[in-house]
Amino acid sequence: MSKKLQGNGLFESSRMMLPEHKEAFILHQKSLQKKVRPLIDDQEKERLSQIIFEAMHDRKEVIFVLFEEFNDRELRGIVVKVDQQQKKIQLTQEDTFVWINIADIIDVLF
Amino acid sequence: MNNDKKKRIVMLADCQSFYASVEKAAHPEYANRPLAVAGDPARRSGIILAACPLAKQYGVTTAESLGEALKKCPDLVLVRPHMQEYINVSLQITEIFQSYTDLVEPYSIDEQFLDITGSLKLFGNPIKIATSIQQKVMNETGIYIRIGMSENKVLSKMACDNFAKKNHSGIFTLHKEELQETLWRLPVQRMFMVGSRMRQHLKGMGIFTIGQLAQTPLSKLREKWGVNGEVLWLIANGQDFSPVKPAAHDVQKAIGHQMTLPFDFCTLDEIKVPLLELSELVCQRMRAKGYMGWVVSVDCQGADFNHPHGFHRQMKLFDPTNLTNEVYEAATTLFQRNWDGQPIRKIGITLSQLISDHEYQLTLFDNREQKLLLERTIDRMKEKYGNAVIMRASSLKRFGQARERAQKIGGHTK
Repeated sequence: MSKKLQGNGLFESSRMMLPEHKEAFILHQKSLQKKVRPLIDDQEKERLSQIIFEAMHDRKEVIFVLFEEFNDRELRGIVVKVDQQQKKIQLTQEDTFVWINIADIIDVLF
Repeated sequence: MNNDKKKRIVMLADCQSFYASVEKAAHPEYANRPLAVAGDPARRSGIILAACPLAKQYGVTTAESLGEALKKCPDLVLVRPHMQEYINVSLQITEIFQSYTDLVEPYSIDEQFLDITGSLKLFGNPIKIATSIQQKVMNETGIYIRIGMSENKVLSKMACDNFAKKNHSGIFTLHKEELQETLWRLPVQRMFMVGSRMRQHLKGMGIFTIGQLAQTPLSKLREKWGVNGEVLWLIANGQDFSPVKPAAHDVQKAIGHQMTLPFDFCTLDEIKVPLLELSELVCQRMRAKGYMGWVVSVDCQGADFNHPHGFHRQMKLFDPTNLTNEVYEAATTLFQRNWDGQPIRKIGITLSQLISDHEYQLTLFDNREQKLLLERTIDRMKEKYGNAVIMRASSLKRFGQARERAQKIGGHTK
């Protein structure tokens, strides 16, 4: 079955795009989705650290929402260590350990 | 958001004499002089690529030779193409459109579709929006755009090509209910997707106008041309459900490069030079985008465009690859197997059936890791200093195109 009769097939098969133009357009589209790192209010910071310390104390599993340029990432785990010097938190997920940057945390869910 | 009963409002915006207009905006001193953008006169590409409206008044047309154009208009200002600039301006226009709607889809460097159905509450009625867009593009880029409007893409395209380009305001709305008095009266070659060959076929069937095509039973067209016949019937009747889809450009199915050679290439040794250069270009892009491909295809065309000969053949590899030498070997094999020995003027290589290069099968007897490292190092040099910074010795021969090509986009100067 030809794709000309489906979806956007008619235009995708007849389009005249220079490869360089196409690439520049895809890059442009991607840059539209780029996000700016949110500034976390002091009170919010306090609230988040409270949740983190409680969770660490009770060995309770929490979900960290981490900032990323295009899409926030969620990470689930139990807080094992907080490194004040390096501004990092260590999580354990069953049998693996990961470090996350405190600066990347935009929310903690439990 | 928009249910089926509610009509969409789709626009096709076309830039008038795009390349020439960009040049005129960049050179205000030529504002009142006839201007044309032309390829390098020393090479075969010595033709007019675009002429400004003033030059067109003298009878200068796109694709005619430089000599003919100068005969009609000795005063003509000739400018070499600046392809990168045209791409940048095209994207700048995309950005302007995106300040009205997020549904913007480029169709070519000078044509873009917009769906403004969801923007009416913010910006007013369609004509008002079209006028505002037209003015904004003119103010910010100096380019005059014409806008065809309707309820779908094929109608908006035909509204632009057949009406908006010819009327005073440069804006035209084609209503589907009024096709009988508008579109259907036009000769059939004015329809989207009908070229000169299709016009001949239709003429043979006694179909001269778009209306006659629309009235032809669908079964008759389908029988004759299959899906393509159905496509024609749907377009003539103004039926089209294609979405305006910005993401339509995301999925890459293949990566290919082709080049028109400056003179006839007659022996295998000569042709191997551009084959290697093309393999290198294709693989360079594959690596930059993180792909490997399973299928290599080779395209070539003969020197005499009036008596076309050549071939398009492909083969599947044992392992997916993005290594220059592997692609080159496959391409050479394909070429040897299929070439009839006649001189070649145009050649291309494409890699398709793409997969991610994040993981791959290690082959036992050949050190891919090391080869890949070498090629990636070369990629980084080229990225930093341009493609001409390092090249194969064979590219320095008379048959090499790499040096020339590094300066070009789409066969024209950057």
